[in-house]
Amino acid sequence: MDGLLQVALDFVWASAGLALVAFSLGLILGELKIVNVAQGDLMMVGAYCMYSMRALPFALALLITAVFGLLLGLVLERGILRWVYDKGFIATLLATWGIGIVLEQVAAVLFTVSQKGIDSPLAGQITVGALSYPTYRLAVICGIVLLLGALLLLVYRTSLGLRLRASIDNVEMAAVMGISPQRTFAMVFAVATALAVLAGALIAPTLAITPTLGLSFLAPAFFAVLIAKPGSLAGPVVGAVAVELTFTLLQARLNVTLAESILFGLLALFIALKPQGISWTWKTAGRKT
Amino acid sequence: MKDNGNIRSLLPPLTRRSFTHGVGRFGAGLAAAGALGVPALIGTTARAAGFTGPRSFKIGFVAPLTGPVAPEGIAMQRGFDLGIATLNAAGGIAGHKVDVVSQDTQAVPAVAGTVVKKFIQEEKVDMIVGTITNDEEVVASQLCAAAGVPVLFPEHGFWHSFCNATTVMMGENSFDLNGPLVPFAAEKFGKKFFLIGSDFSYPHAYLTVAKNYMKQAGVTVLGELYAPLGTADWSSSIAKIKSAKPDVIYSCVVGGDAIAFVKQGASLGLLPGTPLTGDTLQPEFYPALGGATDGQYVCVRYSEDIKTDGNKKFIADYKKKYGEGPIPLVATSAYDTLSFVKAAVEKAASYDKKAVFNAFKGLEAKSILSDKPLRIDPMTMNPAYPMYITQIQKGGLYKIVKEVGLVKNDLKCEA
Repeated sequence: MDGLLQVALDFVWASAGLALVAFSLGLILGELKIVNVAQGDLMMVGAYCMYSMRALPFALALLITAVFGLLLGLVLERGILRWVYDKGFIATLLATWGIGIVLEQVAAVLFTVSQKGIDSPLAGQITVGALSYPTYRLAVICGIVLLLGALLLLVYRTSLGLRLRASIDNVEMAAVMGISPQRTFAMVFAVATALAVLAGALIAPTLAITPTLGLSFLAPAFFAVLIAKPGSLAGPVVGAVAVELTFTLLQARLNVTLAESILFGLLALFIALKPQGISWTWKTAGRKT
Repeated sequence: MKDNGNIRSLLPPLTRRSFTHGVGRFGAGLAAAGALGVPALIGTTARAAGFTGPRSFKIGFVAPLTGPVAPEGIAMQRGFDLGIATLNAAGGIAGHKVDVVSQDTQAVPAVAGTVVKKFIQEEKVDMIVGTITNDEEVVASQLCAAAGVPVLFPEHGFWHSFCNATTVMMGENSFDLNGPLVPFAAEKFGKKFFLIGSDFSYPHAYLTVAKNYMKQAGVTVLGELYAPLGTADWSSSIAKIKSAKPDVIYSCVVGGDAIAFVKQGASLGLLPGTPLTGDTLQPEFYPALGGATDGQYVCVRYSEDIKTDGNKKFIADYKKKYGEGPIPLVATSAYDTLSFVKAAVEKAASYDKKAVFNAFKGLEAKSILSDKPLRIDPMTMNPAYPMYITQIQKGGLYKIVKEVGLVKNDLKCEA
């Protein structure tokens, strides 16, 4: 029973982190229509921010990191991406690829490529039934659930969210209605960047901080986005849970390498058979303006 | 070691660490060190130590400075640079300064091949030293064998495929690492082991050798898990290990994954309650682990606790040049390799490449590792290293708790 509870908590932990990254990827893909392959590198930036500020209280460092993520997103969107939107899919893909490479190299120069680490701010464990589980993981799970809940409420229950969804559905029509595409693009990319940076900051205490830290999160996050309905902002969150649930079930019986191979095989097959993604009824009525 | 013949082909096809390239710069302190005498790099037991070469001795140093094994590559470069600076400050080889050309291989075999060819054909090097990954080493070994140029792999222990007319394997092998450790851990902690490793060829080969020793020690293997390189979440593997309740976790999880595995193992209550040993706990990881490995035992070739004059000097010079913190093992091997290079050239009394390679056979050279000269086994072209069981202390020192000495094996290069 304890083993089952631990597996369940591990699943929730993995799902929470992936959901945050997938949500940010989904935002960018939905609004900007670009595939941001630098998302993993943005996570890495968050981890290095926390390492740089390891002498500060964790919460303060996290706040500064999130603000830095917003600013970084604005700089990248205004400085680079806006010049390539009309150059086509390959141009935007290459642009984000280039951004990722530059971020990795900058990290390598600033921090060297040797592995870094930071301590968990909550070292203790909380007893759940007969199982002790890391307090930090439970706190992060709660934090991400609250954050994603607030973001989804923002998207689906506010006028700002309505404008965003209108822009995602039809950017030209939204522009005619007075919703500035430039401003929306910049805002979305900045928020999505901050979320990716935040995700990296939150997982930093659990692994080695290296310039390539975020790469292993990229493939599952993209699959989480792709199995969802295109343009859906709640979809990547559900997709992340679906990906992690499948992975958890596979890992229960198989070694990690085989489980991972089967997972990606199944996801690729699913996307091939159902390219329109998972569709479900979701009340999207925003507040009337 | 009855089964050596059967498992020889499984010996480490990949090294677990990597190097970086670069030409060392002389530090002011190093010049002083040279003037005072540096026992390891100056000392030699070569018969023709009075030999004076016709010109500078030229080494081509290749290492992955960028790419997935760059941390190890940079550490190797640091050790090599320091070794070259120390060697030159002490008079060089055969009375001449040692010249170095170096280049990044990016851990890409094709790049390594291009660099090695360039060094041989254009730079006319006398010797190649480097790299880290097996794929690169295979290319380098084949090219050097074809050109008749000696090539030294500072981090690669014996591997049968590298038995040829020019390759010298300077690292410790999996027998050195596992032979003393398995019986020590079984006796100290119990005979129920759980094996875990990164999923590529080196950890598989390492654990295959370990299982041979486990069989001899009466160890029961409760489970064996492998996870792909780059695994960020070790929760499921840790849950499986916890449910098996082993006496010992015997691990060959490597690189940054090792840090993630240990940190998550500590946060999920697996460590430090269950002893963790194997090849996972590299000294350079200590600062990132926040003391999670304090008290654990590992078997190593090198420790900062080795109290030779050469090692004291090396530690002082290394930390002066690169700062405080644990010295990566790969840096020590790159540094020490140069002692053997100097001894071999002076023993050969020639820069002739064939003569230099032959001089490595049975060569005895002083090392920072021991007050006694170390010997390259002519049957394996691999030095026999005295090994140590160490316990990790708070602060990161790998304190020697048992001097194992040389580990016997019946390995040999065969036609």
